[in-house]
Amino acid sequence: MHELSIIHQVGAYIISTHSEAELQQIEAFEMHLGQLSNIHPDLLQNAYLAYQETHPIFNKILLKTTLIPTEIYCNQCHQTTQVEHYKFQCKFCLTPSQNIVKGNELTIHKIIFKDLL
Amino acid sequence: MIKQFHHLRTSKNTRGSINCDNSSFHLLQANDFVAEAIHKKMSAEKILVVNLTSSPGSGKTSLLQATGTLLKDKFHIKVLVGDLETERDADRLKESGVDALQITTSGVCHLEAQMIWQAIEKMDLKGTDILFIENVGNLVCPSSFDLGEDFRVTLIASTEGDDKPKKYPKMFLTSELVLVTKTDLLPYVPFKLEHLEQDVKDINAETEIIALSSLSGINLEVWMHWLEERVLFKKNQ
Ligand SMILES: Nc1nc2c(ncn2[C@@H]2O[C@H](COP(=O)(O)OP(=O)(O)O)[C@@H](O)[C@H]2O)c(=O)[nH]1
Ligand SMILES: [Mg+2]
Ligand SMILES: [Zn+2]
Repeated sequence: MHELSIIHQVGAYIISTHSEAELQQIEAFEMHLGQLSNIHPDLLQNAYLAYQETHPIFNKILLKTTLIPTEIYCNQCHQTTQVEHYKFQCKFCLTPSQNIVKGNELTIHKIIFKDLL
Repeated sequence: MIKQFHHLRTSKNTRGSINCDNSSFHLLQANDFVAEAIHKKMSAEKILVVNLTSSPGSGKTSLLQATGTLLKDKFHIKVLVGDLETERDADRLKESGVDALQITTSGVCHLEAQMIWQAIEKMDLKGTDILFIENVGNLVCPSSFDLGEDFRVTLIASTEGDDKPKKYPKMFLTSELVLVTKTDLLPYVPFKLEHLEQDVKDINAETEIIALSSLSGINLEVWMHWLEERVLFKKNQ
């Protein structure tokens, strides 16, 4: 629901960490969105469209998103398993676990630059 | 008897940011940084901080009114109440004798740590035992924002249906206590406490559940006891 404010923060971060010349060379950036981040990829893309309107430097920069499923680590059998149907228990030994190793991501994972030939 | 808690927040690691590799920049890092500062400040002053979350209308303000009345001779309570607009909830709380400060978010659907920090800077917290934060009514966004609280308590009214936890897993995953409210209405609504319990336990086997009613007073003493134990624990830390 706060996709627009998230994209504003992302934009501000990218601008603040790159020079004007570097910004021109960015082809895309990739965001990792954990299943538990409450950020919807389509809504994020829509928010990015709105952001591009007011920040034309991003017009040629693509936003890529990758959804990260939730995974928990089991302290009993030391395995990492994917959470299905929001049942937070180990698939092997059925022990409940809130030890989340993946799924909370809300990150700029990668900034991809144009190939400089 | 004071129960021994190993740590106050059992599900701390599931809130806000997680450790990420160097190439990643976590967008909630700024919030988490302020949340940590709030937590430190409140711990130094030995004030228990409880963040109440729920959908709009689940009974957060009513519960705080009842809590304030019941605990007024025992503890000094302050409330920070977040809403998109109006000061109605703070007014309601003040009428019940509870010291409340309204935070209007001007449309933002959740409270952020920075808003809490600014508010507590203005408050005289001397002698306060419990600071309640009534979050904006919303089961989605507030789940991602750590406010530096010791405990997150999520309310779900019997009129909302018993199938909600798995629809809003992150909120229930990050709550130490679930309060089923408006249980005086249970005879009139299709709500099975066992269904809700199963859903909550699937998500977080450690979450406690108390079914109560602010209107009739059912089980309010269980909630009072839950609070008292934690206030004393915080004081003795
Ligand atoms: N029947 C019943 N109604 C309640 C109870 N607690 C709150 N309400 C009513 O539910 C409505 C919403 O309550 P409120 O405290 O404003 O909810 P909030 O939006 O979560 O702060 C109000 O009309 C209350 O009078 C309760 O225990 N039983
Ligand atoms: Mg309210
Ligand atoms: Zn296991």
